[in-house]
Amino acid sequence: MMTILSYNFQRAAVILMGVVALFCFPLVANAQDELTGTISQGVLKPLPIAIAISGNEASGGDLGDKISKVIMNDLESSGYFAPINPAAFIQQNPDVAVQPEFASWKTINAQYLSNGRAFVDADGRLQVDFRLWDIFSQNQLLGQSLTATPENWRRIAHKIADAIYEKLTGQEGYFDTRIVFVAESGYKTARVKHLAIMDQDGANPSYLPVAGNNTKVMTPRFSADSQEIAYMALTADSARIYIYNLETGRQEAVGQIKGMAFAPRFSPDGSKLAFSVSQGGATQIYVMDLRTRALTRLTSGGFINTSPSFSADGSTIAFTSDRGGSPQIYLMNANGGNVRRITFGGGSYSTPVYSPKGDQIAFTKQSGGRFSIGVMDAGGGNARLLTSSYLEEGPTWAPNGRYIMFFRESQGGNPSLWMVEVTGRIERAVPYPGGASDPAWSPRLK
Amino acid sequence: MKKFGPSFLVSLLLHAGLILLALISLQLNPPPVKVASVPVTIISDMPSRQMAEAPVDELAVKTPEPIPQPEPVPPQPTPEPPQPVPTPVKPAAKPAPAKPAAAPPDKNGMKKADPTPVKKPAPKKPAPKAKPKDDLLSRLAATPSQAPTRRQARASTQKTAGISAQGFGPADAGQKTALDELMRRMQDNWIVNCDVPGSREVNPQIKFTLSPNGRVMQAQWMNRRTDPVWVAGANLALAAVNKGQPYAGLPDGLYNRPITFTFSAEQFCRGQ
Repeated sequence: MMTILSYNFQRAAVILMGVVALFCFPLVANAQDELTGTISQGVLKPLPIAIAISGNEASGGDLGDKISKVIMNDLESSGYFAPINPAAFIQQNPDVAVQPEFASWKTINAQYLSNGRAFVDADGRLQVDFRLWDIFSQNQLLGQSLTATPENWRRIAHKIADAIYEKLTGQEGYFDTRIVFVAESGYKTARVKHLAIMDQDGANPSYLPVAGNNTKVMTPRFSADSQEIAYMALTADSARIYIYNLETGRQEAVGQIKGMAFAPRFSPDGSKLAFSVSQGGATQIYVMDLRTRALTRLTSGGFINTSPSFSADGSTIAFTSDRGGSPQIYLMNANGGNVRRITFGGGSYSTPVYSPKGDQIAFTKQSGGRFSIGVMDAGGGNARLLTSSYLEEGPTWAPNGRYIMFFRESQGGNPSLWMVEVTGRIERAVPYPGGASDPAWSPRLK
Repeated sequence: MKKFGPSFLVSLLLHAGLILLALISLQLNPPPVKVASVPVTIISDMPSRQMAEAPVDELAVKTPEPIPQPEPVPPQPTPEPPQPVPTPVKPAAKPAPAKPAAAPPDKNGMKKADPTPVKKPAPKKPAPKAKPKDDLLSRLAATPSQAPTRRQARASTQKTAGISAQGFGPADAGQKTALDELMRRMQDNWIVNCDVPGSREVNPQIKFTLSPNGRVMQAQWMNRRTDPVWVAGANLALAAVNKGQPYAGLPDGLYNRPITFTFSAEQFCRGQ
């Protein structure tokens, strides 16, 4: 009996060891076999991408081509993408319902492909289905279906560009946004200034029917929900701040303020409005609670304090002051306390604007007869100039904090809008057929 | 009274015509911009939704596992080797675990553009190069000259900066050179965007094997994260691995062997 038990025990042990060996050996072998390496050199260049949306309008127009062009323009303007000319496509109109012919897209060196179709459904709504493919992995990265009224086809295109941008960079898109700005016309000595709005790519420009047109309107600023615009209207004997609601068309003057009020800026939660009031040779910064209309003065003294900008969390206000002898940028708590200067370099600094994430401040610097747009850390320091020319100012951030729009004016010329990436590597003009200044970039549209 | 001559009349007519043209052109000048209220029509929700024709849902895209394989290479026309009959007590007689790419299912669940007849999935062909483990070891030790079906590894004339390989013994100098060459090919296809915040911390580790015909198989992102900047960076690294295939002309020891490369944006972007 003992012999049988001992035999069985030995047999079980052998089997157990065999099983252990069976499971362990491949692991050891794999660990020994695996080759590893680190690649620390790459290529810095825009991503080659092909955009192929097909579809025709009921009127016979080529809606797919139009949407493709808007997407390509958006992506190219970001500086991160190099859209491939559709004339080079080997596979024409790739069906969104089937896999693309990857070999054809490899041949033209497309690293990514976004194909799709646009059509108007039975309800009269425009639908665009699209997919994003990684050509070399032959993998679908994205697939969405978007609908809107047909006249909003450009917004669908911007949303597709946003989705592609987000997927391939990991950053929030910014293409489905608008710019409110001051459209300028007429002679320089008698400029007519209209408040105007357009898409971020310069499409759909139109004037806003607001008070102050045909006089002088300045410094328009979006609210956090993109639905309201605060701006200053200047007449011969007054300067007042108005708030215009884009959705309802309603506008109202902000309180009865003695003196000239200007440079308004909404708080991030939209509950407050900071602005400057010039009175008796001094300019002070005030904050108005938009619900109660209570007005609080934040600065004092016989200085010029202007251009307030709230931090992303609303706790701090950056502003320009000449209390140190020349215009410099200062920070203060939202209640006006703890004022500290953050710029000390040569020249003057003005128009501070917090980035949407609150980690940086854009500014205008004037030095040596030239103006520059720059950025610095939110607490000051690490200032770097991105662009410089005869005259440029009025920086405003894209909602993703990667681009800054501003206006530039050559000597004797009309002002025009420009945008620059925060590294300064990418800069381009924003198309508008006329003079344009004082831009404000909207948050992403809902 | 002096009479007006024909030249005077012609001149008068010309001037009148010019004035008329100027007036017309003024009239034709378009208004600069339409003065109207901006139609801020918020379009309805545009949700991402599944398409009937392509049953690929968003979730599948967001969790790209398994990493899709390249197009399968047609199996070699060599006759099927006899199936080894594994006995349960002799696990060493089993085929090596490294299998060349079997025909992958349509990873995106879509019908193929090419209307080729649907293959029966049941009779899977065995890996044409599958060999027992002891043979794998012997192949690893083989010099390039013992692999007549592939070209020998080229002597690298490029700089070795930017790459570092591990996993070789002192006798594997030739294979290390070949691995360096493989890494060089991939780094040439690795597009990096150093400007995106956070991209400098992205160091995806991509594990893959090379089939005997140089195709990338089972490429996987090992240190997976959900951070969108990491996801974008890993996609670029995967694209770099896949873009250069087929990787031909490498020593046998690099094929059917797990390889893991770390794509260090941190190191690359440091110098940018």
